Amino acid sequence: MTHPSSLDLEAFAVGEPLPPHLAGHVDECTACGAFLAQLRTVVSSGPSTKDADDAVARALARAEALEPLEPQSFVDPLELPQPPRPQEPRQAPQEPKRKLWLLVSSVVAPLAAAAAILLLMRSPAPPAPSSDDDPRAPTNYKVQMGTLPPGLAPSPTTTSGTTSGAAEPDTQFKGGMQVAVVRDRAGAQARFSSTVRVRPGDRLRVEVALDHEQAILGAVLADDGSYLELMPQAVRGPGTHFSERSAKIDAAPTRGTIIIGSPEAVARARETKNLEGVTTLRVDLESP
Amino acid sequence: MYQRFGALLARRCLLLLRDQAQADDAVQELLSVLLRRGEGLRVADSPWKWLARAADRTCIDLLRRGKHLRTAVDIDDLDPVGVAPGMDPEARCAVVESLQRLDEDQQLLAIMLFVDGLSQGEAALELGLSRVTINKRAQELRARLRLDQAPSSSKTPSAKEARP
Repeated sequence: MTHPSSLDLEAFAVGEPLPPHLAGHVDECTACGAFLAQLRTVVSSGPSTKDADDAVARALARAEALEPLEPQSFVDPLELPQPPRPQEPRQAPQEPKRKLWLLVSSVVAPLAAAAAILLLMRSPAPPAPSSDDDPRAPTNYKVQMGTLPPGLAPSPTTTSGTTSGAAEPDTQFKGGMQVAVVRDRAGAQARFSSTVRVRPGDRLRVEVALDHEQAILGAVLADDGSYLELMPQAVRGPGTHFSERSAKIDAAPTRGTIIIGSPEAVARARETKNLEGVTTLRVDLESP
Repeated sequence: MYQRFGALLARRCLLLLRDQAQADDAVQELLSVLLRRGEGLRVADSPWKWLARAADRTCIDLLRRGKHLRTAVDIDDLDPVGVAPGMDPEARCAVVESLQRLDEDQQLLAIMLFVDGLSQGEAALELGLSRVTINKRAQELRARLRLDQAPSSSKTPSAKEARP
């Protein structure tokens, strides 16, 4: 007896027609009938209209915030067999980028972390802005941070208009977690462990070093309440991890804070705007 | 679209990634990709098959990027529905457990043959390769997954292929 493939049966379960030569089989085969019944149970337990709307809205926010062609290997699945694949020409120029990330994570990051710790130990004063930031720049600028569509963003909150670094370092090392952000500006990358200043067109990626396995989540919480997840919730082991996604700075400016921590702590910080319990990095706008 | 296919997409992603959080992320990622580049779905003969392949690619992407997957989850807990009639549950289990370790060109073929239960001819048609090539790659896959040594009374895709 020739059974249809699982894929055919799944398609049939969601209402697509079976290939003609298999149509009769499904009516007669009890095994296929039972499998179809189970599949239909699964299909009927699918998302409600509200859940579907929410999921699509989240995906829309992500699509707007992400780089336009991520993930790299995604192509029309029905065009897969046709070489050359559209993404292949892009992979070559990205190789140096990967090497650069490797270099940043293996050499620059430990050195910068050691230097930052040394500076923090030697000086009680708040850390100065990074060398490539404009020292004349005031700290209360508006920056965009992957603005979410209206309706998705949490309700706006009042902000003081000043950075959180006035009295304490912007980066808080807790529980063996060290956080930095890498800013990509027209291909030139710079790493920041305190406030990062950005301008339209920049991309930010988060770097997290862990000394033990733990569940973490990383996101950008803009001062207007919008929220963009850069590092999805996952259990990550000891070592250096880069966020799976980057935030692109667009022309709608809002200052924000990169928050990293346990999923519960991040959710709490997002809801209450109280950043205690999460590691933070401030994002401000660079002077024009 | 998501209401219609969401549950099966979630099942598929969970099966391939074996991690609920990653599976949720894969579905979200897939949706966001569809919003940007989903034109092919509108003209696909079978929207579900199109989506299934897109989900496969998204999961493979996540597998390549992820380093710390939980591997101790029983496949029966992930997919209570089980395998379709005529398929080898051990082969599917072996593929799901080894997916991250397979080469890139082996991953999709393994999913087609041992998760979706396509015949080698159907896989050849979908991948645009000859049946001889698919047969050779399937044998390599079986060897790598040690499927030839696994006892199985079920009909495997290779056996399916032999039918007239």
